[in-house]
Amino acid sequence: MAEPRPAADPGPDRGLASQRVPAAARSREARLAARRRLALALWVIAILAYAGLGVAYPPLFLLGFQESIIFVFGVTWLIPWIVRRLT
Amino acid sequence: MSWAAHDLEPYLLKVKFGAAISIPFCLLGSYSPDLFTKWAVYGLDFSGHHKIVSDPVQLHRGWPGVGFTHTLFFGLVITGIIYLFSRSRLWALSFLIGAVLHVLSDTLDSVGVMLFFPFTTYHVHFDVWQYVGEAGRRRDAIAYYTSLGGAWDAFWALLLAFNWRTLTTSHFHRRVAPFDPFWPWLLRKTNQTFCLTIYRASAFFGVASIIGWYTWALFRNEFHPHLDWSLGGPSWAPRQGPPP
Repeated sequence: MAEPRPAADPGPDRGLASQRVPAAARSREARLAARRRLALALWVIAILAYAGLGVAYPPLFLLGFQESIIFVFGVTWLIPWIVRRLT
Repeated sequence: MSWAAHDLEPYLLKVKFGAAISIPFCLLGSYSPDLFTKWAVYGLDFSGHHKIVSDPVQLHRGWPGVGFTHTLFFGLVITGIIYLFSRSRLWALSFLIGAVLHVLSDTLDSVGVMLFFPFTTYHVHFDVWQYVGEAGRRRDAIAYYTSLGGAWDAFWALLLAFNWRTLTTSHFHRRVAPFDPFWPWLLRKTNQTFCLTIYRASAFFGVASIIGWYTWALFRNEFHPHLDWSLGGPSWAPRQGPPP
C-alpha cells in the first residue's frame, strides 16, 4: 500500500512561483484569444471572398449550398493551419 | 419562397434547443420540400428562358402537382419513415422541425402553401413578398432580394452572426458531436475536417449567399436594382396568387 504523500514543502520561492503560474496562464490565454480573433477574421474574409465569387458568377456559386462544399472544406482545412503558423 | 433562410434556420434552432436538434436531419428537413422540385420550377438555366413545365406555380405548390411537399402532412410522413428505419427520435423530430420551418417560412410569400393538406388544398399565404419563381432564377433573385424576402434572410443571418460561436470547432466537439450519433459515425468514416465542413457548409453558404445576392441584385444587376420593402413587393413583379 502506498504511503500517504507528505504535504508539499512550500519552499522559499513559493511567492515567486505563484506569480509565475498566473503569468504563464495569462500568456496562454492571450495567445488563445489572439488565435480565436485571427480565426474569426479569416472566416469573415472567406465569407466575403465567396460572396465576391458569387457576385462575379451567381450560377456557379449562389444557387445551392452544395456549390460551396469544396470551398468550405478548403477553408476549414486552411484556417487552422494559417492560425498555427501565424501565432 | 425563401432563399437562404432555409439554410440558416436549423442553426438557430440548435442554439435555442441544444441537444434536442440534430443539425444534419434538421437541414435535411429544411431542404426536403424543394429538394426534387426547385430545378423544375426555374427551368434549365439561370435566365429562366428554358422552361421545363408550363405552370411552375402549380407544380411547385399546387395539387395536382408536388405542392404536397410543402405541407405539414409531408413532413409527418417522412418523419415517420425516418423513425421507422432509424428508431431515432432525435433524427425524426429534427427532420420534422426543419420541414415545418420551411413550410411556415413559405406561407410568407404570395402563393403560400397547402398547410392543412390533405384535408384541404387551401393555400395559407400572407403576401409579405411576391412569389416570382415562375419568372426564372434571375428574376426571382432580383425580386426576392430587393423585397422583404431579402430582409427575412438578412434577419436570420444577423441572428446567426450574433451566435457565431455555435460554428466553432470547440463548440462542435463539446456541444454538437457528443449528442448526435450521426457525427461519431461520420467521423469514423471520414475525418474532422470533413465533419466540420458538413456541419458548417449550410451556414457558410447561407450568409455568403445573402451578401452575394444583395450585392449582385443592387449593384451588378440592371433590372430594378432598388430595394422595395413595401408589403407584397416588389411592385414591378407580376401579381402571383395561389394556383386555382
